[in-house]
Amino acid sequence: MFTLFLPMLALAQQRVVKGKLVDSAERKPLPGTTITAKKSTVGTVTDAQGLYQITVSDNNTVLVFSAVGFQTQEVTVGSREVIDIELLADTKQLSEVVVTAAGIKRDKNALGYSVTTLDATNLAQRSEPDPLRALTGKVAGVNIQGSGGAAGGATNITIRGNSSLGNNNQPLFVVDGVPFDNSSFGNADGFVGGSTVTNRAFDIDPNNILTMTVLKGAAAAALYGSRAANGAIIITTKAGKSQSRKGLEITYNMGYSTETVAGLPDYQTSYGQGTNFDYRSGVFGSWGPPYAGIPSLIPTRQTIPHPLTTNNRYLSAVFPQNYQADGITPIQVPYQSYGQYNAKNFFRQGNVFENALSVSTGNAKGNFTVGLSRTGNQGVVRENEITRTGVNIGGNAQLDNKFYVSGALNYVNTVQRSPQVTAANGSGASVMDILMFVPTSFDLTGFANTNPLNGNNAYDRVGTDNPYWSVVNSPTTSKVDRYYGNVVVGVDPLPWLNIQNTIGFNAYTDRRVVINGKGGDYFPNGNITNDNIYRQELDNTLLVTATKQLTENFGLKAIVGNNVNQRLTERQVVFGDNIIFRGINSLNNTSVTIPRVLPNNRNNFKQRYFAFFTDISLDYKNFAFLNLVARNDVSSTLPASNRSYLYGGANASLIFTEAFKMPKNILSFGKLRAGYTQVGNEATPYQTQTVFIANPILGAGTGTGGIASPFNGQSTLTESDLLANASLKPEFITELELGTELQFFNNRIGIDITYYNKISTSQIFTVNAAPSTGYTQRVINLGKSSNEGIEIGLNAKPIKLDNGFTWDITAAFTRNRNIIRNIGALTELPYGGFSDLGSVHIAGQPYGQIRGSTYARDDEGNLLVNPNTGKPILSGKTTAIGNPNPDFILGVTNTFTYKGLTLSALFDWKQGGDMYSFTAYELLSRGSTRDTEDREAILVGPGVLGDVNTLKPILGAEGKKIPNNIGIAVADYYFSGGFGPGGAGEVNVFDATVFRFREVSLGYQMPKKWLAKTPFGSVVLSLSGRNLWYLAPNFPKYLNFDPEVSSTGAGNSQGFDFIGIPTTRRMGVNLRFSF
Amino acid sequence: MLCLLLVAGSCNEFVNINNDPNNPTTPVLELLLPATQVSMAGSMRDLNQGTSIVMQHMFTIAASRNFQDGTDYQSSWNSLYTQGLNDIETIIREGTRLNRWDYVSIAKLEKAYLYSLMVDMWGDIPYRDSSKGSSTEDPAFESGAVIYDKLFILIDEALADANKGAFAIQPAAADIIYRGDRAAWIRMGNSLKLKLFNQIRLVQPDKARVGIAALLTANAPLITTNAQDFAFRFGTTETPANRHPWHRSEYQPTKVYYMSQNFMERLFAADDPRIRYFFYRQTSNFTVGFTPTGNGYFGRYTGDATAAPNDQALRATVGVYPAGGLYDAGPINNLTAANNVFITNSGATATPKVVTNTDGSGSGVLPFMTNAMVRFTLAEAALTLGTAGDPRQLFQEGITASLSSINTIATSGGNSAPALATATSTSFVANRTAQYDAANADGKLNAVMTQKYIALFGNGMEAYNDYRRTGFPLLPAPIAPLNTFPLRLSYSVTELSTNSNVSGKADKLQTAQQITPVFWDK
Repeated sequence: MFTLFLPMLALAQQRVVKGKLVDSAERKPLPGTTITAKKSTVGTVTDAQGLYQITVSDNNTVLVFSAVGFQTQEVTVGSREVIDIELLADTKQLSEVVVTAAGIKRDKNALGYSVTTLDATNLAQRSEPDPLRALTGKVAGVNIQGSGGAAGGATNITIRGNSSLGNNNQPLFVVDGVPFDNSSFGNADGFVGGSTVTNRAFDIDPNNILTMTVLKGAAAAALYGSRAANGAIIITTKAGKSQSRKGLEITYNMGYSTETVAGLPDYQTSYGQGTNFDYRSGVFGSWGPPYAGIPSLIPTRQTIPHPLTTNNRYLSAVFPQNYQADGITPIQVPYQSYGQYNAKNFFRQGNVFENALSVSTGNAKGNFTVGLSRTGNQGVVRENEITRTGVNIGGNAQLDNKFYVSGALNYVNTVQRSPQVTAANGSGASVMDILMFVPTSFDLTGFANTNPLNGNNAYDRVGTDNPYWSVVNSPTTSKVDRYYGNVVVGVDPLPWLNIQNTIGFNAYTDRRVVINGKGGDYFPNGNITNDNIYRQELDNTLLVTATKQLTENFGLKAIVGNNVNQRLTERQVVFGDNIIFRGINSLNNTSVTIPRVLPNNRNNFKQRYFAFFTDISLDYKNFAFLNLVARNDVSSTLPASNRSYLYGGANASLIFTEAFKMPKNILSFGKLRAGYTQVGNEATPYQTQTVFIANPILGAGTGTGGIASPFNGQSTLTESDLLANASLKPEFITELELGTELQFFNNRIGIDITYYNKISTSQIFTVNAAPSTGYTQRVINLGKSSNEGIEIGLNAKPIKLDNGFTWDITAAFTRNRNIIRNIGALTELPYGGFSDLGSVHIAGQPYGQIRGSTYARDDEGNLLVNPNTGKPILSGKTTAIGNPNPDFILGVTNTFTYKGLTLSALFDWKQGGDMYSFTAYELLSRGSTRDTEDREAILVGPGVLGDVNTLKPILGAEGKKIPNNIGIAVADYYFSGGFGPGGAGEVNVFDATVFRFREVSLGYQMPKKWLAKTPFGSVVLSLSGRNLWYLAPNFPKYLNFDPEVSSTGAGNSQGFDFIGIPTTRRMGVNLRFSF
Repeated sequence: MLCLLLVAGSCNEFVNINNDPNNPTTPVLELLLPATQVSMAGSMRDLNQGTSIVMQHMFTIAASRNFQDGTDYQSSWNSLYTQGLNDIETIIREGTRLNRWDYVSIAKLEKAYLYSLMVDMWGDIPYRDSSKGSSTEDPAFESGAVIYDKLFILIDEALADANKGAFAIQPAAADIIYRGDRAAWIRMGNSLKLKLFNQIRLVQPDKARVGIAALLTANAPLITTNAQDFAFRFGTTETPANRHPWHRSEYQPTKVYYMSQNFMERLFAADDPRIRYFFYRQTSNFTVGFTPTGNGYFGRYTGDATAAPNDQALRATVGVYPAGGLYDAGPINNLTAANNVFITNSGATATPKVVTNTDGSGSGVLPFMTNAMVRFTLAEAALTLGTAGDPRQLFQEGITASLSSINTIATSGGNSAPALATATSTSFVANRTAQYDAANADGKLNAVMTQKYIALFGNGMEAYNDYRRTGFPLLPAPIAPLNTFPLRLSYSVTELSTNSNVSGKADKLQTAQQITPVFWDK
């Protein structure tokens, strides 16, 4: 009631003050500046001309003028009616407000840890529809690995390395204050040629992002608790923003870019399909005879029978044009190379088409935003596309009774269609797996790919589907409907007290349909799998904040909070066999349907936690800051006795240039930071009790040995192969972070250096068990690993001329060493993978090394060569054969600005990190590329002769080792079990160092005078290019391989290429209008 | 928020949701038992493949060149231990607790059968410490001889358990193999003892002789009819996958195997009518450079190192026995006077075709231990140990049992091949008996083992055991071997890399497998 009367009392003495705001340097009007009357709720903002007017109650009213990037000014009104103000640019510039954990806004200067914030201009309009990939190279400490050039391919992101040996290592995503699920559900049936499935951060449109803040360390993220143990990415969308600068703002972004394959192998054009220089139709290899005109010791060949006539696979009734008049004798076709065209012609020019509209309106009491966006990406592979359509609406209001509310609601619809583009395990009906080594003499473009009589696959090799046929007949589709939003209610009951509650929800359904088309060779009957995933998250955070200036010099901000969270997944997979009518992709169109068993038969998951936390900040004279945090989680995923766990830490910062009143002509700003924080991490659900699985597939693996149940109608039950652990304890990550921020020469050069040492202990990890224990996997709770690293952020302005020309450099450097310190009594923890290829943790060595088969060596390290074959002898052991962790990552952005023109270019360099390359394996062992073109020689591999049964060198006369003296053909050198790629695991591992010209953009802001007679407030036109050049110097030269084609997507097994879609290059044009 | 408003007890309830809602946590005997039998058959796929190849029943390139590595048998090893044996231990533990001796007895017999076979394949393996995941992370490897000794005791325990109470498995279908028939399981147990005694006859001849004599004197019931065969009969459905693994892999455009040219030529030359049941020709007269047969029996000679050309539609493939494929009723081009008595072309009017997954039923069989095997084992024991029984008669009974079990499979469960006429069987057995009679003592053993070898098509593991024990049948040397004939199979690379008892010496252990005989092999 009181509040209703107060404005009435005030009415008596009210009058209007007006004026204009300009910036003091350039004397340009400052629109959108906030003006408030101190100690009241009265406020306004300046219009486009910088003009304002405000009602004041008396002459003692103090007006506060504040704008981002300028020093705040306070003016007492006195008797004046017109008050013009010049605002001074804030020379510190660092004094920006950042959103930290739990939505707490803090002055960046006060932070005792490193955060990086990117705004829309760094992310949107870069021809990159994936918000994660748009981050690449821009933030020190962040490692982003794409999985090739599929439209909507998964992206793996880790911050400061992998902390957990086996748990999730992806950072927590928080959108508008609510956790945002970034899962990437693998296919239920990986072995049928896994298609590319995106991770769900893709549902965020970069055009809709206002800011993206990366909280890298434990100190920054501790308040989010377990989920942010691997860092957090805080996104504020335009719908969730709290302030609108002026009355009405309409922004429209549009971008169009074309997409082409960035690099393809250089195929050899001298030898065609065949074996041992002999033409053989239907084989994979290009080890056949030389083409006519090729200088060779071996007889060349002019023509071959049409390959599609081989073995009467397609009779003249199917393809009469392939037979002579008698209908029996195949026609001859030229024997010539199509290698240079086959892969190239298969890819198309894709595109990305983005449109985003946002409208916001508001005043001091509240504002309202609506947005609409649509992004379509047609991939370079036919039939591969993803579209994302989003609608959002948000608003906030300051109520008169000290309450305020805000809310945001987003709906996103993402539809992806992908062919069987990348095999999850290197086998199966993957399009790329066949395409990339089509024999050079096979005219993939020109020959028929579909049987005209029945629509079945047409290809010369039995058991293989023509890639052109596959992409049309065997698509995978995913349709995601996602809803997320939040409601915030807050109140300021006392001047120093704020209470705020945020309730958030985030849910999606992903309806997937995987088709293996009818009439393929791999699945002649065809089949359809429906996979429906529902994921929901509810989150509530209550914050009570007390802010008090304790004395003139000491300020205190204390927060206590409570957080409750529930996540659930419900999934149902049904497999329908035998497609009845081609092209009708419904389960009802199959003759048998059965449920598919997911790993450990787990369709439904639910987990919850609740937590209490506190955050206490103290500042002294605005140059020394101390921050203490503590949080106690109670998680449903741990046994009752261990489910409650407390953690926290302290961090501090000192702006020593202020503290010691140092001269600022050289060192303009200097700050030191230090923090020591512990974060706990929960488990995934249901790991505490070993279960029994109904109707499993029993027998030898997933191949033809596996027998499904019910068997002749009899159901079965088997104990799970996963041995649970009833005494799980939470994981802990303890991080020491030290850093400094320095600005030199009036902010012309700035440097931000961070050192961290992060120790992860008591790891919850599913490892491969010795099968003789009765289990293939078991959950362990031990181990210690460390991540130690340095992050350097650099920005410099080497040139700044009076005519407005500036040159800015920003650089981000990351170096992380991830070492397994202790895995208890064990020496190795193999995990993931299949057969003899996978990942392994070894004590004292780097995290997650590639594990594979090796050749036998003698005590001096020489390869042992089998005298019977001239090829190396397998050792029978699998060991670590490569370290996929990069040595360092460097991204450098150069930006040139002149008047309305901005040219910006990002180069990045990822040094080191190994990759097991199935591409190299296949293309070299099949003789496809120019790497193996010089082949009319006999090669003698390195090593000494050895005994296959003792794995010891064979000793010759005088007891000496015999150097390998057995010559083998070039094909044997590379083919199965040889010295080159194609042999044991170890020879297929390459150093994945890569240099890349990742991003370039040229922007032009149209001069205001041109727009004077138009409705537009501003128009920005930009051209952008992505991935214009790359070089991976340590891969076989003619593969032109891009290591960004990682096939494992998001997860802890990294460093594998199973022939994914090549990366793409984009060139685009973007337009932004605002009204 | 909710929790704040409620009492502490409710907070606990709020997070007390970690019981897996998807899966049961307690065992159910009548669902575990069929799982052990399904997984037993399924787990043998890779063992059966590898041993069938080295024994020249089938062909793949690397294995026929005597090459093996840690991935070849890892699926079999891993699933035997983690599925079948693990569930068997659960049945024994739960069944004992509940006094369900019928389940306990069957589980112990399955356990004895599986472990004896695993010793035969790999030699030294984990036994005492295995299937104890929660207490023993690294099971020790024990010597095969020690395990065999324990298995004899285990079989006797099982036979005792079988008579402890009612044999009342409900539903009977939960025992896929014997439908809860106590007598059948007792016959299986005794036959297994017979097999194991015979297996150790080279190293423990007295124990073998005494053991077999004891079985025979006591008139212990053995498997004596085909209906009592200890065998796993596959189903007909493609989804869920119930078919014989060879049908699943070969009745496809892409094939895993060639048929063994050596084996096909052996049957062809010996005028053995089983050739039409074992193999199906996709073309009637294919000839290729390295297999100049010209009658469509197009396979590969063992040890052929040539890369596979595009011949999947041309190869001869598996027939109705044991895979549940097609019966070959097509005319054979080049039958001679010497071999068209039993492999006759009369009535053979069908045209060969390229097989697809809709051909045949897939309702094949994996014979673990059959009447025919028991007859041949008794014949071998009689010949070598002088145990009771007429080896000549047992030899005849063995062949007859083999022919009639082929007839059974070929004409039932969805298969509809013509059965071999009784008169043909009788005269074929008489023909082989004449060869037996003409042979000397060593030749008689050769004749027995050769007939057993042919009858064992579909179970390469027993053929591999027999060959290592007796040296019969005589097998041609591989064309381009990479190694010597493997005396044991390679260990699972998973086990070698995860079990700390062996991980440090994995390479030595693995390579020694090739040249180290199993304890009963001298």
